[in-house]
Amino acid sequence: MSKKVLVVDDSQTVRQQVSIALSQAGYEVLEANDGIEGFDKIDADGEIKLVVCDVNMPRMNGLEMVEKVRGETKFDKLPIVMLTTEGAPQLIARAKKAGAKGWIVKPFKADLLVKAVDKLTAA
Amino acid sequence: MSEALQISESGARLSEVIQACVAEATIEMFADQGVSGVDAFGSNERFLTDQSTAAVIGFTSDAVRGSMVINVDTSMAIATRPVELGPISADDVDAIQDWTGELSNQLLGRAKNKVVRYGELLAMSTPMALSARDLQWKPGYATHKFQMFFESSSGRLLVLVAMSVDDDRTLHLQSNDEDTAAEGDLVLF
Repeated sequence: MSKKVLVVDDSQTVRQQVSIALSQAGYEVLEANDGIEGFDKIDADGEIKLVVCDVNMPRMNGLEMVEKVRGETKFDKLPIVMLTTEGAPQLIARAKKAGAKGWIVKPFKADLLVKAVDKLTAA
Repeated sequence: MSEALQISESGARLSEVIQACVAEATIEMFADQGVSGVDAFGSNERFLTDQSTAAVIGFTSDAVRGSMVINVDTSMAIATRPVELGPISADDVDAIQDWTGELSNQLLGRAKNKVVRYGELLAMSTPMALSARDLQWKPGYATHKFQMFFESSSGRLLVLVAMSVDDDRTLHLQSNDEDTAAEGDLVLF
């Protein structure tokens, strides 16, 4: 059975790009438009193996979503990879401290994304 | 590129750093998108008046607050859209608007990643895109504003920035490229 990956981004174009890359690699991809919708899908689905998440989004940004997910012990092991235009060391450090497992700067290379998802979902 | 946009080793004002970084980021981003010849650098007093799409995105720090507008020909938006998503027509307004908003996000993100090397960390808003004719720009509150016009065989791009700078201090390069994650970089923790 395909592993489920959730992509959280307010840009439909980016969600489509990520979905195409991961679907072609054999993953089942779910989509959410912002941090609130992302957290709700993680909570409701229960079978999501990894989350790819933007930083700057309306309602709840990606770093806030990581902190909310990490606040729930049942999601302790859920890997979250940030996918963003941001590259500032201060923000990367904040994401790491919040419990994210990776950081990719847009525009992304599909093969690198797939490699990261393969590695983080292999455990 | 205009000589005024070069940052000398003795440093530059915050407003000059932002302008230089936006210009450099724009040229780099379109080169990476496969749009060649985006090098006609200059100013244009007016928005593009035929069918076009614009996106607005804000930025702020302790010293500056402002917004950037990009205005692209539909043909330019279509040409820069990721090829793996397949072709779209000029009538697909939702897809063109969404991509133009993401373009503004990626452009300001690139500029931000350059500005941070001078010690100024900008926070970004989410973008808003719109399609319209005969837009007018009235950045009345701004202490600094600049505009850049780019043209290639794929179409035209206008970048406008209006900002209020509370402390236009001189900044110096504090870190190099390797301290900031670049486009396409992957970091696993």
